[in-house]
Amino acid sequence: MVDFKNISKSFPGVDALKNVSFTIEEGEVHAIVGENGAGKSTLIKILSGLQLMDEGEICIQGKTVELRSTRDAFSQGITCIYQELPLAPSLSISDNIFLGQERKRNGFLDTNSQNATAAEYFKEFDIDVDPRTPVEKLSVSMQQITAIIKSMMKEAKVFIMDEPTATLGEHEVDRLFTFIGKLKKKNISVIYISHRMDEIFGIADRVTVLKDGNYMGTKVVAEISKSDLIALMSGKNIHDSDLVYDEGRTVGSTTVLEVKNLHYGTVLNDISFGVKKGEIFGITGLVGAGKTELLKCMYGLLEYEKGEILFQDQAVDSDSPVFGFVPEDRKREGLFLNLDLIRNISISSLQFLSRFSYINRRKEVGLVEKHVRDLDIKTSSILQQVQFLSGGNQQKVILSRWLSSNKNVLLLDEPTRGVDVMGKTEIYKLINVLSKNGLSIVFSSSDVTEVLSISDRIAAMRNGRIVKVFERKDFNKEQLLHEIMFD
Amino acid sequence: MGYDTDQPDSYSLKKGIDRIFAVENIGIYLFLLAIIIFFSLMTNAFLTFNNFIVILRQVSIIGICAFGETFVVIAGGIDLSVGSTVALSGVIAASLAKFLNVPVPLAFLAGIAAGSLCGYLNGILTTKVRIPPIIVTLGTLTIIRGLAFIIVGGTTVFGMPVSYRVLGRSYIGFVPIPVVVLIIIFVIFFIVLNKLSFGRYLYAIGSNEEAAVISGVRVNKVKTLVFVLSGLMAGIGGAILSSRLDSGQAATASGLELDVLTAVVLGGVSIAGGKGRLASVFVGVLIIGILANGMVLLNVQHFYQLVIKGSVLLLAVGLDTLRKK
Repeated sequence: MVDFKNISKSFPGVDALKNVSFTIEEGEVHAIVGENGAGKSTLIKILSGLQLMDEGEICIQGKTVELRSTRDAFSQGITCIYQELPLAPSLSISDNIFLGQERKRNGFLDTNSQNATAAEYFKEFDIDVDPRTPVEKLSVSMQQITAIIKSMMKEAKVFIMDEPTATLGEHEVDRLFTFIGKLKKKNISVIYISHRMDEIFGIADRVTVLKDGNYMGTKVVAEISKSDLIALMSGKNIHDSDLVYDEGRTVGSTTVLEVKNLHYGTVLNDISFGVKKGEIFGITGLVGAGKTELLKCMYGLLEYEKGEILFQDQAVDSDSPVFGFVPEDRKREGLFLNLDLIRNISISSLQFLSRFSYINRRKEVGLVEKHVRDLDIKTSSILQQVQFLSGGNQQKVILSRWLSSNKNVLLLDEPTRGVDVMGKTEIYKLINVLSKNGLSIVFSSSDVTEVLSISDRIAAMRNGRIVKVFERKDFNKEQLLHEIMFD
Repeated sequence: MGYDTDQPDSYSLKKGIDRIFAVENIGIYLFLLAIIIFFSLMTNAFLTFNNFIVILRQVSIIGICAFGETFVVIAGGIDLSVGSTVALSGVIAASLAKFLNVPVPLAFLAGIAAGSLCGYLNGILTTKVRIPPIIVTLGTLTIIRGLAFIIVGGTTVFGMPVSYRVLGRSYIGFVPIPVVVLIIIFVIFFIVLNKLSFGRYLYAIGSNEEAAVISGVRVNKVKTLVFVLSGLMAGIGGAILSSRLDSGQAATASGLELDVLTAVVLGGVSIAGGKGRLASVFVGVLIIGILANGMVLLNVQHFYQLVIKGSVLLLAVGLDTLRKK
């Protein structure tokens, strides 16, 4: 279907892709994996016409094509499903599907025929939905499906999905996967990019590994083990259990942070817990369990109806946050995308970098350079706008923001989402160092394995309640999963 | 950024040119140069020191207000109430000086304070009631204008003490006082925007307000203060204008906010927030002033002036957008 032949692309100072060749077959789900900076995004951008390759050739159905713009790619049947879906939220499903190619009868819109056809399309995938439903009322996975069906009408043959499940809940993922299965039967190819190994092993037929711009090989998923795949990606063996927990740490005896009988609408119900000095307190639960809302209440972003949040025995004033916060959605809530690294990193510690609010530029630059070095943030310059950094490096930018802000408590919401294996390890290390320095850390994640490996204690959340708090000596994955999943 | 180091040396001339064109908003600097050359060639009356001073004095009020507006726009807002605030400030100062025999400096201060208060009102409505700034200031634009008319009962106030004219009409050396004020405010605002944490917060809020909240920036406080500053500038502008006119007129400075916004946008400040430089806004102000002045010198009729002024805005911004593609 798609032949990549000797694709090379370099940016000043970096060879993003070096002589990469492989083939995407018709009707297969082809995963592309690699750490941040491996060249996945560059390859995808080339295929979808956003960037030009320096050398090489792309053939589609045996014919060499030139992809100079997204329109070129589109006309070759290649469609990229971005996280921001190209849908008009207030219009109905069928209006969206027929947008730009409306059916008309005597010059008037033929809405009935559009609705009937739209319903048929969904039927083909065994999805029963009223095509008059406004898109904004749909779940994210249904919106993705709508976007895909819309481009199928324009004879799309290859879909590129970049982390499509990042914003999906558990059963939404199932629905998307069922849908992808059906796409395969229609001989449509899917290029699937994800950091979640389970997904790749669940849905992909073959997987291509990139590392530092090099092609490392294409494997049939059924014939390779997870650890082999990870070894191929990272060049060394990394196991889930790889010494994340730092035994050398000691947790203090004083309780720094205390949440008492917190209620927030129907989302949070009577939440109480305390976190000690230097402790890593894990919170886990399924999507929708209330983890994000809990952290936002603690930070003061959401106004809770009942309950208390105490920091060193004093009520927290929501106007002057005493905690550091790393939000789940880093692009929307965490970063100033069009500002440089300096301004992104120093924003929370300007009071320590300035006298009478006059910023000491040398001190500021020094601090930022130190963080960039210490956390190994990969960037061409600290004057680079953060939108050009990879996901893992962006996350490090947000984390480093809090390192010099003298906060005693850090609230981390899904801090490793969308971050590659190596990046995760570095973030874990950093969290360990911080807690050794006496910071208390609230680590919220829906990745149970991760929470188990890093936390001193874990609160299991289900339906807005903390159902159980586990001590480290009692950690047990099955029991924990059981608590968060079953009533 | 640091990218051009890898290019071969043979490109050095092109590199040099590229670098000049890479300067942010280079377009309007070139445009400023172009119209200066154009008017110099067209009339001898243009390129003289005295005319330059005249231009600066003419733009001083727009300029002062534009610096306040720049802050608001960088923080992701907009202030349409500037013209009305200028009128209110002048009317209050004149009325106090005339009818209540308030000493002139105090009368001006009261006018300026009223301007800040208007800004505070805009800020509170934006941050606490959460009405979008464009609607807030559209409302206060009318309200404040109405208040100005109410205060003077629809008449013009004149006959203040002679010292009332000093602020608008006197010189320090050979520089008119309004120009001195303009330059002082420019310097202060430049430092605040580029060197103080407050300025940093403006860019952060305009770039991503949610991220600013999460980074611990007191967003509402900063946004309120930014409107207060804009009101303060309009208040100062109003005091100067009223002094220049030696009267308090409720109908004055009507539509001034449009000139102010034109200057801000000409200066490359992103109307979406998060981007913009004060020096470029100063250039935008100068362009407006030079155009107006030059066209008068060339006897261009007022109606044509309007068409040209609007076209210049679209031309300058359009060229800049095309260049970035």
